Amino acid sequence: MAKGIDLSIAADTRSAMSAIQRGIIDPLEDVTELLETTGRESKDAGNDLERSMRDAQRRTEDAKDEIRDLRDELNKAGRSAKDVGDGAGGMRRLKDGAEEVTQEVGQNLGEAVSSIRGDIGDLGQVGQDTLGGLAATLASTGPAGIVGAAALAAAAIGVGGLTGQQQKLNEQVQHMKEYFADAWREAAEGGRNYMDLAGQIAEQNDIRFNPDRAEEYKQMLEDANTLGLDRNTLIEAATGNQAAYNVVIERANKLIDEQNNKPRQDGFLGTAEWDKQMKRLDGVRDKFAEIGAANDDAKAKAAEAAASTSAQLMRLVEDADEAAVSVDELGNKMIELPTGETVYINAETKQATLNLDTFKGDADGVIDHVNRRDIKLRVTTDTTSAERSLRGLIEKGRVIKIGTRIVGPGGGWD
Amino acid sequence: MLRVSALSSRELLTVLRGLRTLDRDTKKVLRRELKGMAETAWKDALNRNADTKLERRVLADSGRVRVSDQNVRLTSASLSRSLTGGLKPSESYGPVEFGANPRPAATETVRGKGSGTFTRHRDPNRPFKKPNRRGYVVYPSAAQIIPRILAMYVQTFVRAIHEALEGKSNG
Repeated sequence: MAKGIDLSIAADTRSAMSAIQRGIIDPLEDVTELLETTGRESKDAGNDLERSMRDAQRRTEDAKDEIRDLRDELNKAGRSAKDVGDGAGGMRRLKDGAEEVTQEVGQNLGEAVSSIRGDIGDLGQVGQDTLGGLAATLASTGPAGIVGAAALAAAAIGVGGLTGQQQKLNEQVQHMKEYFADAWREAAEGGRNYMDLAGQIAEQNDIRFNPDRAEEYKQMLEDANTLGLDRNTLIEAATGNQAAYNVVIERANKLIDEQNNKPRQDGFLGTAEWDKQMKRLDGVRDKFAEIGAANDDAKAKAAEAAASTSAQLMRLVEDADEAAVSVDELGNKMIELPTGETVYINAETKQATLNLDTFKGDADGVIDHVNRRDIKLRVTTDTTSAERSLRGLIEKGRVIKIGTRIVGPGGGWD
Repeated sequence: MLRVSALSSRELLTVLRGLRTLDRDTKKVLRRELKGMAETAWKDALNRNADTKLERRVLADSGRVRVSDQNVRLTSASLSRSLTGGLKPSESYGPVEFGANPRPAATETVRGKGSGTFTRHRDPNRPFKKPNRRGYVVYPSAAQIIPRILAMYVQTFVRAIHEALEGKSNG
């Protein structure tokens, strides 16, 4: 959809805000100072401020590479903070040593970056270890260099503390990631390219009934109200049902578009209501985007794992001197190798696995004992035909034949 | 780059810090006050930079300001309603803002009076200025006005705090 022109006037507010929240940028510095200066010189304050902003605009342009680096480092620091989880004690220790470096940086730049917390001692050590040349950068004191150095400092010390709420949120995200990873791992090991429905249902019920997840469930109900969708759709979407997921995302996007086109009324209630609704919609969409990302991530890994497993087993089968092959009514194949391994080839996905659960038993009771050349021929015919059918390269009739298996006169495959 | 990085301005970072401590009502007042001022300034700038009727209709008249707690967004041509005559600014603002190359050789087919159709040359890009990647109206306006709006943002924030301290409430 065409969107027109939309310019945010301040960049990086989000990463700056989260850096403040985690304490990488000192959260308490100089608010009062700003209040005083801006309040006192009331006559010139406006002009001064505008001039200062113009400077900042120019600085943003001049140092945009450094600022980008700084932002990346801050974000990275935020991520590692999540990983480590406990850096609060360390942060306190670092704070004392930080003043020296912030002062120095502050003198040279006279701007915001100086308020990033850093410990001069740690800077040196980190510089020696990994971030070589840091001391030199500091010494050369170009504004750009300082910003970069401060960025490194921020990255180095940015294992800041987490607030309780963030921790809880992270737990939920973590749980979701684990769930998807487990489900897809199971799928990959079972030679499936879809998630197990039973597993999904179990997870759905867990959200509904598990008292530890009551808050999550409550949030689901609220989200369902926000989107005007059935709550079950949301729960299904959250547990990996692709169709439900698409419905949710589409709906959220549509509502956000609509909201954007609605006039954001002036006046007390209209404006507040608009903001609130927008925030709710954004929240729901972000949440489900994250769920989708976790799911896609695990799914991609599952595909990778399945392909790799399949390739290894195929090689095993191809290298065998002889084998006993059974085929069930769905066309699934079970290949018993003289080494004792039993490889199972799913008729639908054409992927080889060691998981025999879905093999329905030999349909015709005939176990074909085949020699090495035949195995190779048959197995490769099977897989290549699957690939071809995907690409639609050969006439459909033949592919279907292979897929459903027509038993020829010799009891073999047609 | 038009935008000002929060990481490059002490004042902006300070406001971001301070926003965390403000209560919801104060923030609400802040947003409302700022929206009024910023929108006036933004429309003013757009109108000064728009020098054809087309530019005014498509880009200046549709100028809006969206204020969130952490940012201010200047928008133009993002209304999906069509103008009289059917032009949708949100879809067709491109050549108005950035210009378009003349295509004098372009032809159009016209139905003659009673006697079939014929083709003739007509340049569809005639109404537009020559291409300019920096834009003619919205982007120059934004470059001029952003520092001022940011200054307003900071001032409004400061005033909101002062008034909150004095116990005034216009919420």
